[in-house]
Amino acid sequence: MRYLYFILIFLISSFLFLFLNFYDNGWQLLQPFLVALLLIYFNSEQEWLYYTFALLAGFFVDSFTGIFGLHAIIFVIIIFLLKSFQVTILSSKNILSIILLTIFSFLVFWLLFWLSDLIFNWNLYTFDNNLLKPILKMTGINIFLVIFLHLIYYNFWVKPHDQKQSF
Amino acid sequence: MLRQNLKFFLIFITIIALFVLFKNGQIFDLGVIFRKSFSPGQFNTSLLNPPDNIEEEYKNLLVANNQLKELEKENNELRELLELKNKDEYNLAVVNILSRDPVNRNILIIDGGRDKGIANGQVVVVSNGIAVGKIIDAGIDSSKLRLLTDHFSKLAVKVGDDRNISVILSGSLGLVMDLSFIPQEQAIKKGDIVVTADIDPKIPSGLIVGQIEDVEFSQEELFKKASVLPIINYEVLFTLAVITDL
Repeated sequence: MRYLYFILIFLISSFLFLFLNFYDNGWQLLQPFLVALLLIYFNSEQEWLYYTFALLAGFFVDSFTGIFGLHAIIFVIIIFLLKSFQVTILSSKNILSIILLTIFSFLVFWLLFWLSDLIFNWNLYTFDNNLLKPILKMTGINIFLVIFLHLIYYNFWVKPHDQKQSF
Repeated sequence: MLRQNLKFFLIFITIIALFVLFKNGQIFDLGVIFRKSFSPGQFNTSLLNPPDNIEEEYKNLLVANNQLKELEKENNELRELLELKNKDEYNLAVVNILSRDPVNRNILIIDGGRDKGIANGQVVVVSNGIAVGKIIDAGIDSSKLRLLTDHFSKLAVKVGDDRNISVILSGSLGLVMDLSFIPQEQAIKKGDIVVTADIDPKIPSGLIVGQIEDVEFSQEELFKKASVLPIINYEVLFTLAVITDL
């Protein structure tokens, strides 16, 4: 059943990614794969599961861009940093930790793209003033989506079924 | 726990590195297939699909051409009498396209920058005076150009038989352009030519932008909308010119 959910989440994310990119009006900056990755990370204890999702999601997005592997590396780095934080300083399982880690993930995501642009001149996203406002807006929406969907899942599935929250 | 996490991280980074090394630009280019399936083969129909009554159209155009030549001659004589500057004398910087932005296909990198007098906001044309975009980031020897079909592109234009309707043109879907907030009483129709307005001091008026493809309006709305098709195919641009000085 877990694998079925995994495939379903991947397909929904792929559909949203293609749908949003087709409309190319600022909504393409929404990151359905990163939202799904964080939700899987917060609700799964199996490391290989969310690392595999990061890999597949990254490769899927990369197959549409000129720099193959960049999204995959960034997604895996984000998971690595989150897990490292989880086992060191942010180990408590409360909503504040989830909010902080979600904000941190999106900051790292854009920071790594900006650095790749700065160092290697891979301008996968054109970081100019026109793009800054939509990036900030969509980052806010992304963070809200992760927290909102996690709370819904936790309150309507994890608690009623008396399951353990992974994080 | 930390060590196990590091182990997973290294394994997956290695897998990614192997995929990147073996990929060689061939296997995973889903984007190419996707873009081809949605490529706008129909968006330069007005030029590639000739009308059915081509001979009749040719005669009409010949007459119109002669009339325009007469008008041009008369206009030049009047300009000389009034001692006006010839309005088509622009300083052009001829540039080549170096690359396209891999994510946003509507941003092009060109091989001219501040060394050729190029600055932000200047308009880019193809050789015969068709506006295709604006400079958004002028570097020392290269610049970024945003095509008019890009969503963030905005341009003041005029439309209508007497070119008396001024509206803002914005890109849509990366393929076409939209005119919004056209007052209901203003008459525009399919086939009308859209040209640049004289609002922006860096952009000369009268450059051709596109052709009205579709007009949407309803009784309940205050304004009409129209979609504009580019006159030329933006996917096959090579040499461009930037109007650096009016």
